[in-house]
Amino acid sequence: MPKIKPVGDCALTVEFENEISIPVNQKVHALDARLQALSLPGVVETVPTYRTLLIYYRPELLSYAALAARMEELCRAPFECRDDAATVVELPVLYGGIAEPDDPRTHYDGWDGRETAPDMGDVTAFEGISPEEVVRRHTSHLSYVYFQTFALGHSQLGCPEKTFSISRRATPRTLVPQGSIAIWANQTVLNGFDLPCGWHVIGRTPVILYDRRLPEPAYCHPGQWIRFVSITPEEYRQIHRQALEGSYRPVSYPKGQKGGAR
Amino acid sequence: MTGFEVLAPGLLTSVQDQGRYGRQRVGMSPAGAMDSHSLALANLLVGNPTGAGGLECTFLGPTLRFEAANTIALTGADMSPTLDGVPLPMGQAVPVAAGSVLKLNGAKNGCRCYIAFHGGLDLPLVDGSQATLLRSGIGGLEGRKLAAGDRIGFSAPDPALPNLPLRRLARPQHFEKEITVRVVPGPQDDRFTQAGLNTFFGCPFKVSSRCDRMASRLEGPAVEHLTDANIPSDGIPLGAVQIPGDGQPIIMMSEHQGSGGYTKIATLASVDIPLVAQCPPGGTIRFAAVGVEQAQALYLARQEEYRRMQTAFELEYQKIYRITVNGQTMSVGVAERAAP
Repeated sequence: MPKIKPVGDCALTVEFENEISIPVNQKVHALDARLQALSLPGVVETVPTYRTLLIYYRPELLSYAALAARMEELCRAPFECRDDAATVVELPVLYGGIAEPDDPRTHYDGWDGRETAPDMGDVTAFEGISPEEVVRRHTSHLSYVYFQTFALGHSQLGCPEKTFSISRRATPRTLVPQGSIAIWANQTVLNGFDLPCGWHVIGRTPVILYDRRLPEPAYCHPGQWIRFVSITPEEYRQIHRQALEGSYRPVSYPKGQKGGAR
Repeated sequence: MTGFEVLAPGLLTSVQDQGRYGRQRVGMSPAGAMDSHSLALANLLVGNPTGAGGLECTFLGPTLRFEAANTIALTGADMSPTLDGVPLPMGQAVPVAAGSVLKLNGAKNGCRCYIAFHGGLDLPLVDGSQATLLRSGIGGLEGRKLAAGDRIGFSAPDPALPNLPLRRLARPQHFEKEITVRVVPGPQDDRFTQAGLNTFFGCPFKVSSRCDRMASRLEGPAVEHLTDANIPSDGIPLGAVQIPGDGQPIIMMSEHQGSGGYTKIATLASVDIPLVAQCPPGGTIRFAAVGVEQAQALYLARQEEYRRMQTAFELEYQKIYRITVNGQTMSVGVAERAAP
């Protein structure tokens, strides 16, 4: 049975098994869906992460005890973990090199911000493999979207297969550019805006990961799978132009459909 | 509609309301007023809903010239405000004429002053809120702090609110530099040694200079973990106290990120978060444990206080008397029907 705890006087957390795993995370999103379906007065919003669901509520409408009892009830039905119906979304990535030589960010936080994979050298040195092999491993497995709550356009992904063994950077970069794709071990993060980052940046996507002009601003959603697709600098520029115009549409297909219909 | 022009912006003045809730699941930080209590009081004084958008002024306030008449109120940190050079009282509704100049100075007490305008500000809602999220450039006026030359309109100005003499705080606000805040322990209080918990609940912590709208970082004896500070990232609410590996507490404030991977030893009672917003660098903070039921009782009492003020300001009075007790003059309204 998951643990239910207060988090101050206006939030409550439901904690599942203390591990980062897709089956545990799927329970979090399943519980979230059950709660949303109730439309319980007093519930403000929910924040799903790896293994917990944080629920904001208004104590004048719902006491801690009442909400805790409701959550306990919702946890009683078994959680089924199946995702063959899940969606795969393709994400184009330029793994190294400069796509936009005219980009003014030549001195970006101590490095050339036009370079799309500033940490590729560290990764290849640590893993003892070529950049091509890094790209092959990163693009040949699907990665699961765990959650997106850290910051706008930020997605935390994990791959069920073992891809890399490198850990986080000893010293985080204080800023990485919008669109940066960074890794450690089998985890990947997508950075929608300029943010500090302690992971290894191995590529950059030309798409806009959180586009406020769109009715649904987020490029992908928790519970979906991402297939990284290696692109050339020329393709990067073309997709980036389309993304800025708002005309770029992601390729997506059901996970059961092997390789997808392109 | 016209409103006011910013003649001097002050150090960090931004439009804030009760915060943008509903999109934290996609990483949208709520932002909103750091001292939401002072904003609520200012709004109540001018007849607004408690969460309406106003100005949050930090350490050094702005100078504004009104282009339309309205009723305003200032609460929070006392920045020695003047209206056309005449000192303006804090904590009461004041009519202002078109062309008059409101000047705020440095904070004498506390860190943040709030200015509420009757009818609110004529700015768009972004996902239901006018709050400025500075680090993502969202909300408020173009997602940024105010600058000289900015102009913001009023939505529904009214320079002649009823019961004006009654529209003042019963007690002036005062902010201490040594505060004790109440916290609900958890959700990761089981990740600390007994010595660590004793340190947290027994020692004062100094407010460092590294405090902003995202977090107040404290300095003091290290709070000892059982093993380490890392957890699989989970959701972080306003007022959560994170303890990273160095054992130094971080209180998450309005622009907090939605989730994080450090242990959270406790979460502040909502009613005490504004005290942290007004506690300047160099001040000290102590933590006292309360249960969730007690923290919710405090929260409900505050809501009730707001309701009482609202009723008192909006009743129809037969007569309003000015009375002086022990040298203090106050206004008392007499109504036919008692306040509920």
